[in-house]
Amino acid sequence: MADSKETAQIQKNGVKWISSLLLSIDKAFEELSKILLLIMIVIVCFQVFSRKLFSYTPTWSLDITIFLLIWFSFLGIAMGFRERIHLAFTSIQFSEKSNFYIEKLISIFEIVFSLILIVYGTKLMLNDFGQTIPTMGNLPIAYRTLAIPVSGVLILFYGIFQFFGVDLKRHKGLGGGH
Amino acid sequence: MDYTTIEIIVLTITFIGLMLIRVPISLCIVASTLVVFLMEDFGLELISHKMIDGLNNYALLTIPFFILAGQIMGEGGLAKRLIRFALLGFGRFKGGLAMVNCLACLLFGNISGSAAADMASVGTVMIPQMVKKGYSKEFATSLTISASIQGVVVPPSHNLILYALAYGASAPSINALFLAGVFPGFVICAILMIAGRFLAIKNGYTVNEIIPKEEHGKVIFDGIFSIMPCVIILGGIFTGWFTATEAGAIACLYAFIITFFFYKDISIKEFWPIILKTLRICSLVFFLMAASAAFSYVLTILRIPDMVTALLLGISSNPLILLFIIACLLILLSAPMDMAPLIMIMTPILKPVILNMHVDPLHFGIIMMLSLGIGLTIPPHGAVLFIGCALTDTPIGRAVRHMVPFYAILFICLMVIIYVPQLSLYLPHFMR
Repeated sequence: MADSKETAQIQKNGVKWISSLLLSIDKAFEELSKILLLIMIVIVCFQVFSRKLFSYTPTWSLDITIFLLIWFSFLGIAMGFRERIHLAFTSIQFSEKSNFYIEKLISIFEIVFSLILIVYGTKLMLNDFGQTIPTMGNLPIAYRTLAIPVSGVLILFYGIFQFFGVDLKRHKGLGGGH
Repeated sequence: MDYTTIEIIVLTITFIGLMLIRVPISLCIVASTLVVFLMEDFGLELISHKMIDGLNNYALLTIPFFILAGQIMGEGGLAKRLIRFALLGFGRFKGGLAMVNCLACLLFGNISGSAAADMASVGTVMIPQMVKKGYSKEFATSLTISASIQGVVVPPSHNLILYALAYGASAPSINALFLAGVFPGFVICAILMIAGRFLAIKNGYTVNEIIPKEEHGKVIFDGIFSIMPCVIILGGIFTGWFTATEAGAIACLYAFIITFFFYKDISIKEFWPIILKTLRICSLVFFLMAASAAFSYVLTILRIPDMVTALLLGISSNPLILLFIIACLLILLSAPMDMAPLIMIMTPILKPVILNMHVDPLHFGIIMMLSLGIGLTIPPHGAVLFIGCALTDTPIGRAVRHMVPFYAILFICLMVIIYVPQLSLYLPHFMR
């Protein structure tokens, strides 16, 4: 008896440890996308001021902003899956029972979508090692494409958790976007 | 039945079927694209490729920038200041609060570029104020709902940016689209102000509100600093000093400094949650952008836009009649659906029709914005209507009954915009 209790305790601690690890990774990505947005603003402002005040247009600013934009977008897309805020057609109401199955079905679609992003995003990325961005120290554009599989992995996590009915929403009641 | 027809049918069924069971619309778009890709035997890397292509666009940055600037200003008490500014001009008239409401919505829309933000921010301050002065709650709500639609037409509307991006090749510049929205915004505001005042007086809401003389200086000062982002955006575009994207970044910087260091209505700790809200809106817009990039490619290979063009031109070849039909179609479609997906889906489909009729894409952009904007006030899925009702605890059915005269007014505005193309085209052509 005591043994099994102990094992259960260890298991519970293990699950806690893993879940807190996952949550902090998730949190880190969210903070990262906020910081990316701020960096993009700073770069574009810098570009305007340097052009107007010193007649100097940095060559790297455009490429680096687009690089950050792609990462920002794909991390944002993944976050949208966690918060379940992607626009959906909600004019029809279903019964509670069918809602249950529909939710599962939607999670399955999300998982399939995330797998496509992971598999084909990685394929695309591997092809992209040949091309480089000259203004960013010849960085292969594969590092930009990497955003797709990373976002795919995040969506896969959220999809699996949502399939088992775990609510991962961090923020309640954020306003709409029209 | 040839293979293309079967593909189109499968595409439609997949899209509508998934949409009905509440799969997120962007995901429906990806799924229906995927089905066609499989039937055409394309490699699925193409989907990832198209998705990243759709986001690989410098102009897309404009969207988070303007949303963030609008959010910072909005949270920082922008609505309050703009309303007092508008009160200074029109508060003294009979039914003046109705006019103030319309003007405040226009000014707020000029900074946030979003109807929902307009409704939430101006409505929170303005509706209680109107009720206190004897206006009925329903009248105040439906007036604010209608007036906030200006937010999607006037610059820096992020829906206009979506339109430019969805248009694809040879799209009008965002600068030109912003300029195109200026006069239509004024005209809608004028029509709403006149009609609002007329309805207010007819209903016996005649109490005015006068701002005491000693506060005039502060109100004007606050007002001017509050509409400055809009001056920066339009002024920068007018003088060619910077692009729309750069204007967005500068507007963010300005909003940050003025809100946290001068107005100080909110502390700098609020900045992080504001970014989060921006992130949320960007999240859904960007998913839509990425998904639609692949989708519009599928539309093109299936030649769907050509079919729609043939169908519509078969009804009539008169652009004036067709524009009317298209506007009505857009209003109908937008009743159950959200605005952004419709822009992304309908723009590439309707583009050849527009080109065939020699309608200026700038003019059409404004028509589309207003039609879909009207859709935001119509049940069963009117985002702005819902926000308005939630704000004032009004049942939706009751709000819709009070909206009826305003639907008529908004429709008149739409007709004016359609049949007077010079309104949309004068400024951008003048600047060219």
